[in-house]
Amino acid sequence: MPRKVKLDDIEEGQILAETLSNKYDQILIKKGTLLNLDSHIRVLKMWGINEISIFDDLIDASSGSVNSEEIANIETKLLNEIGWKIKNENDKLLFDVAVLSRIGKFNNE
Amino acid sequence: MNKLLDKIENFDDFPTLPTIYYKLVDALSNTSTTIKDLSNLVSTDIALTFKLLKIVNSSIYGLSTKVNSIDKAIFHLGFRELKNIILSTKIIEIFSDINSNSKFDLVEFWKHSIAVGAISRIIAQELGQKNLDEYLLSGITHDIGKLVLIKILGPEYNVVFIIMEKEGISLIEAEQKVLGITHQEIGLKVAESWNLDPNILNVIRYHNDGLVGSNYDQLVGVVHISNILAKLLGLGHSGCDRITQPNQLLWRRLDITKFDKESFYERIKTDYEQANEILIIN
Repeated sequence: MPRKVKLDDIEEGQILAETLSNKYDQILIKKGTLLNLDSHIRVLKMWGINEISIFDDLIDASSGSVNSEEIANIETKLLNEIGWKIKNENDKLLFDVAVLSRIGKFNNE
Repeated sequence: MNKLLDKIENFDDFPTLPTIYYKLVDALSNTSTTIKDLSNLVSTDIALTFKLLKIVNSSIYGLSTKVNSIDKAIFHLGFRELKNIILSTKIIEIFSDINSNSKFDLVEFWKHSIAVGAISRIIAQELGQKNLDEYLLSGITHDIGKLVLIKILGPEYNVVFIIMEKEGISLIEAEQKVLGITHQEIGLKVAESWNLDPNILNVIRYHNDGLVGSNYDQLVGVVHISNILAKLLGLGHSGCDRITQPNQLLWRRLDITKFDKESFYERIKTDYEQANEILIIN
């Protein structure tokens, strides 16, 4: 889940969860960018942005950056491969972990 | 007449566990044994010493201080877990002479088994179990019957894979049809010859069913689930592509719905990678 952080609290490895623009609607940094502590923060400070929305890591980001249609495709494909139906919350948890791993691979490609 | 079954039944060169393991079992059953005695024994095997320290210091254990002596490692592990860890490493070693072929890859096989062990261990920990390395060992041993059959038959075992794919049946059904014996049965026979704990024998025999007869057994149940999850995640390869549905009766006793899926997945990835790095022989 994305969360808000102050510029001073940004850590290496975090991923931007929103596209940031300046007051002229010019895009500064795109959603999904791996944040660089020096260059990005400098740009943000320049435009007076002092709080941004981030994902903590790739897994966190993958649930947001892969769109719902892509997730649905991954789920359909996996359901076809296994050939059985999800009957309860426990089956669902195993299935969701598998989907998560495929989203991770998808993002790395 | 089944030629392959003959070959299996007349085979008398089953792998044996190294003497250090049996010395250790003796020492553990002796109530006057001290940590020092055990550490002296373990230290005679340099490779084992090295692996034990690596395991105890890995993120699988998540200890806050570095353990740099076998005494301390044994202290952290406890006697019973020491035995389980040593078995895990030795079982992988004694099958290292098996040749991979087009249908079977030994490294992928161990990756799968280690994944099952690592996932089982994580589930057990989340469920508040204590003897976590028995879960790791269970993952590593659950399919050893396959290795025994490949050791005996070599590439002749591939007929099983071919029939399985061609007829769309399960591996067990294909083994029954082609060989007249399953990897569960032969695995059990070898594990019995090694005097492994009854818990582990149950895992080898019942992990595909998930229940021991009609009874719930947490170790067997967890390995059953982990085996399916390892396949869903594509970690290693067991020789069989089919991913069966979890035994639905199990979920009455085993509830993992409270797990946080993101952290569960992260933990699987880390522990799996670490365990592979330490246990697999290249």
